[in-house]
Amino acid sequence: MFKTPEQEERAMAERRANEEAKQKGEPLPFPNLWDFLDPTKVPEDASPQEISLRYREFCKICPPRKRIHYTV
Amino acid sequence: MSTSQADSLHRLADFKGFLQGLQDIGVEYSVIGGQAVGAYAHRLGRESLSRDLDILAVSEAMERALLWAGRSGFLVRKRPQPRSIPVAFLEWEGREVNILTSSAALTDPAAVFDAARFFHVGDDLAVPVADPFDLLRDKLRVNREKDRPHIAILLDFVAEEAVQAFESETDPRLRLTPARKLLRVTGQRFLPAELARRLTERARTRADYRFLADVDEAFDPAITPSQWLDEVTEILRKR
Repeated sequence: MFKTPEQEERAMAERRANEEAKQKGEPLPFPNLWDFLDPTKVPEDASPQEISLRYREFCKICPPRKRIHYTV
Repeated sequence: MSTSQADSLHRLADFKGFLQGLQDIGVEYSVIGGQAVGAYAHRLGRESLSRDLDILAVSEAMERALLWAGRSGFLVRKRPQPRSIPVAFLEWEGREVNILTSSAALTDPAAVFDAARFFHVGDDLAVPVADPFDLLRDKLRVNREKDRPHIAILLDFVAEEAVQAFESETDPRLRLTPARKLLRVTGQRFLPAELARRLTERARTRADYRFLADVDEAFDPAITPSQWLDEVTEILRKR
């Protein structure tokens, strides 16, 4: 609906190339562009405690939307 | 229920005990209807009282609320019936509470709750009240004669938000957000004249002038800073 067949095939090819590189332990040829903006990123085998800590650090960069509060 | 109690008008705080109970059992809901409008009216220094309390909740939340209400001794006058309007009527301390799972333009109670604003009543109670733009959309969809005063209050409230955004926001998009939402909700092409005038007085950014050139029917390009005059003139030409 939003992508042409050519765009979709390109995206799938990039995913396959990344998967092959990952299995070989090589750097990804098409890394996530947002990774360099996120210093809190943890490895895939991070422990639950590491993920929890990472979430708190990430929220400092990208906090959840705040609600509006009033006093009656 | 006595006639005087049935006819008396209330503020949101008058339902504090009931709303505190919902909060204590963790029910997600949003106040809608007249009490919601009254909460925003109060922010404008006005008063808009309503006889009953309308709250919007997902079906599961309604069930939890009804279970709690029954166990707490509240009178459940009507439970939602299959294949009929999903609404339950309760009586709490002589006051009517309506629990709905859908309204004219508020068809996603979870989304309404996510956007709701919290009105703090006392130290311990935070009452989720539907966003004024959601309320306005709903009232305009129904558009009954009795809703006209509520629509007027909500329009005034969101207009003040639009002015406040021009006063205090620095992000070019956030400055325009309330005014844009007002146009989307009302379906109008142009801003109300008085609001447009107030925003024009406070225009500062390139985005402000571009926006006003598009949505202020009486926009005068002569007020535009010279560096943006060409693009504003183009917007006026295409309008």
